[in-house]
Amino acid sequence: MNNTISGSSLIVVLWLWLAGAIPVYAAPAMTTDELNRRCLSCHDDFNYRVRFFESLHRNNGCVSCHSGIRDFARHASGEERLAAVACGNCHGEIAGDYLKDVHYLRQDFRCNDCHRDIHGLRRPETGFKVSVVNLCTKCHSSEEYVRFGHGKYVLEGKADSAACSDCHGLHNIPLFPPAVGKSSPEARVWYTDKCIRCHGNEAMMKRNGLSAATVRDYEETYHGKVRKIGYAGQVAGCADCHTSHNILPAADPRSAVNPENLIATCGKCHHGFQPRFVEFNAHPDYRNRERYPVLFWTYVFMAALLASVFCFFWIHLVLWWRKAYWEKCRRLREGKEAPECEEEQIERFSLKERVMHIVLIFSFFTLVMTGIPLKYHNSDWSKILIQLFGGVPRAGVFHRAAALVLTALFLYTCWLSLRFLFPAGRRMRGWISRLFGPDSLFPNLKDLRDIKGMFLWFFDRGEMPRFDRWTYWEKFDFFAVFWGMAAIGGSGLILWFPEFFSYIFPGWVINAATIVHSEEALLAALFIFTVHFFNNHLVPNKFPLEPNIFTGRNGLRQLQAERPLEYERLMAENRLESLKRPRLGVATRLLSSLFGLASLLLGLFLVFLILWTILSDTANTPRGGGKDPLTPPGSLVEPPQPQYKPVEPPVPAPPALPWAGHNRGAVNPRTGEYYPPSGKGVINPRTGEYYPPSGQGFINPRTGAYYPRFDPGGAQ
Amino acid sequence: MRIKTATPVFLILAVLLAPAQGAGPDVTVVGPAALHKMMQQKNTVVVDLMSRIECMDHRIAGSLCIACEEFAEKAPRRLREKKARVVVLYCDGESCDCKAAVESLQKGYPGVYMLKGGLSSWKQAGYATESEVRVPRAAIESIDPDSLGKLLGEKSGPLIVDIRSEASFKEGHIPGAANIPFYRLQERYQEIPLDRRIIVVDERGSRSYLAASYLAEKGFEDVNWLTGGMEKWNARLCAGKVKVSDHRVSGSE
Repeated sequence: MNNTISGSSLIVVLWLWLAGAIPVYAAPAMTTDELNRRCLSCHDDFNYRVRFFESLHRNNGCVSCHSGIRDFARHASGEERLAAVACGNCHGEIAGDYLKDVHYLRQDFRCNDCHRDIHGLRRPETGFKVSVVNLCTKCHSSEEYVRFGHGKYVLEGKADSAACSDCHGLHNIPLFPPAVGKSSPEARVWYTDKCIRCHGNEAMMKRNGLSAATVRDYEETYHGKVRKIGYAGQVAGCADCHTSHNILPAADPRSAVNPENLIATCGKCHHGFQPRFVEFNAHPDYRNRERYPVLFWTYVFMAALLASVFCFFWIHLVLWWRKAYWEKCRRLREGKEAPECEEEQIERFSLKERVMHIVLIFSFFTLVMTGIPLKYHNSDWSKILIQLFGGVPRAGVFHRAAALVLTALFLYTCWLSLRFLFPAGRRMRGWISRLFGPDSLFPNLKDLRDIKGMFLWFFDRGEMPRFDRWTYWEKFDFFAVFWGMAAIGGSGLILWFPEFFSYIFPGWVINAATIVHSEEALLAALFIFTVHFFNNHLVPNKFPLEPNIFTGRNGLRQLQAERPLEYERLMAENRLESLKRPRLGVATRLLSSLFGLASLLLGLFLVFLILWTILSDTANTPRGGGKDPLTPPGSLVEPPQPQYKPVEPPVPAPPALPWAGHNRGAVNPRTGEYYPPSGKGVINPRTGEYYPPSGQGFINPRTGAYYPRFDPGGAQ
Repeated sequence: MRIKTATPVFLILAVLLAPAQGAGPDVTVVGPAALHKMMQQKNTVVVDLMSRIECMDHRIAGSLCIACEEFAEKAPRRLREKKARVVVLYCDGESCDCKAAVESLQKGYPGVYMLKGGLSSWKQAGYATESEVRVPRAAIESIDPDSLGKLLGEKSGPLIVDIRSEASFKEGHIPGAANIPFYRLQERYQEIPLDRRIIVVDERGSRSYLAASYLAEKGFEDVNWLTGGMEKWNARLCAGKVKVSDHRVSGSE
């Protein structure tokens, strides 16, 4: 016997349609009961006679599954055979899913290979979850899968615990590439989602004495952030550490997350670390002061730093804006605002300094655009931004490359600062006067007086202070980089080479580094894109752009107005002439403005995205996993059962078939093939044989097989 | 000067590219859709490299059953009979270790292909299979390597039936295991004692269930199959959970 079993859904549909379309013993019409009685007159086992009529399928007659019989007498004499049972006729959705199920793909299981006692099928008394576990463990050893953990709890009657199907799926168990030890990326994506579906459900976790915060805390680590942004296959998911079956609490020495076993567990992915590397917390709650004091205080410190910096500079910004705006309006009213005219150009930045700043702009934007999306992994824009950089792994390469460029700039600046303090030939002489001198970026007492003077000016209590070459906010910008490089560069290095740094620090420092890196990044981005942008470009008398960092030149009048002390000093020292430069060409000025404005707009757009996300996150506080466990929590109930129409299998709308419109040919009841009419008989299109008519159908003269007449209308 | 600097670059390139050229042409891999298209043409012959039991159970419609181990011996004649010009080979799902046999074939045929992802990917793509003698699937419980390790220590331990090829068995096996390769199971299952507990072991745990079902059909009542096959068994030894001397994978002497 050579059964062609089709995997193709189209053929399945045709098959089913055909099975439904062939009227079962059409003349004379019989009721389901009458048909059943006919079947039972021969098939009278206890299983069919009694148990079937107590089963879930009892309202379906025998022939609603076992179709294809047209003549009971011929069937009884063995001339007519049954069509294959097609469960998908009623359970169409499951049948569709099942074509991708591992049991079909790998072991070629059919419905009744699991649903063995189909004629005695009942609603399980034990409840859905227990029955699933019992069924799966018929083949998958209970010793291996349900000795501890979820499986054991299900068998103990814990309604919320996960049965096999809650994690693996029921009829859609995916086929993953084989992997021993650690999961394949595809499996990681699938299973971590499943864990989080329940463990992120606050109500369910609370009921069971667990905390949904674990998921939130995991999502705040590097592993969790990368997962949330769409690259779950690349990082450790739940099962990579907790294993998949027989999950035990960390206190149990057999648990994979027991401190004794952590080196092996982490070692599945991380190599070459000092044993204290495993002191890393995979999901710490840094809000919990008792359990994680270091992380708590690190977070508090970083939050306080952000708050104080922005508290000062944003107030400074608003006040300055008001004052400068009013001032500008007044000058315009009084006609004192001088129109731009040809004037002498004084150099402010050398070519080297300008190039350094442009390189800085590129590296800073790269860092922000590849790093900040991880911090705000929940938002859609983060996913888009990461996609623009080619996904998390490639964005990571960009991030590290930009970090190296920034570090090189930083080190070069340090070298230039040393050269400034200790110029060649002068040795140590006079370095203190240079350090606190007017050309130095080091803060001094005059800066404190200037801050006071600025605030007095903001409130119309005095004149704007007279500045020398560097103002106090410019000095802050410069020194913020020193602090920032230590904080963000140091923590970044630890996160880049966590295994190496375990030889220097214990593993929990990685947790602290995550917090510092993340918060310092926010500080840097927000500070540059709001305070630095305003102070240097957006302040009303410079709006929208101060191009001197790109052109390197200030007008003489601008120098006199903004930095009178420097002007007077240059005049007194007779150095002004040597700093005079020719005016730049139109093309260079245009290019400078375009580049500057584009950078400004990009920065402001990023600030908008960040602030919008922070505000909307605070508005919708609940985060973490979904609220949609596979089976409704609370009881040992099965998922809602669709109601199937008994007896009559639904006939799907048939696709256009080659024999559409014919009503004369014949059908091979075993294969479903259609034999078109030819004269009074029919032709087997495959072999070309002619089958003459015989009674209601046709006869194969060679084998004597009977083929019933095909009539979609059913009227004969 | 320029030539001098270029020479080492060429040398390095030559060294880097050498292994790729020296290894000989690899078997071309085709996906299910491409195979389906190839099958429409005459002279394309598809060969199932798995055991006869698996091949008869279900296979790509119209394919020949020639087990990998017997390939070199049987394939040339059967392919000649079929007037094959293009040959496509497949296994269960993962790559088969059937390279030597496949390479022996390459000389005589213009096209020798391997189905990517094997039979599973064919089914996953929605194409048909045919079944000649289906092995009834039995409810046969698996056993995990740890439990098997414990059983091996006991006095009346089970008989391990290793269904991998003779070559793989020679490379290493569980001590005391009997080697009845899957492709010969139907001829040799009578050698297995009926009164002992049987554990069927394969490469990765994907074929032993069907072999166990076959044995169950033949009247063996106490059969189990090892989860994850020898791969998981070996991983357990490597993980250091067990002293290697206890359950050493022994080579055959």
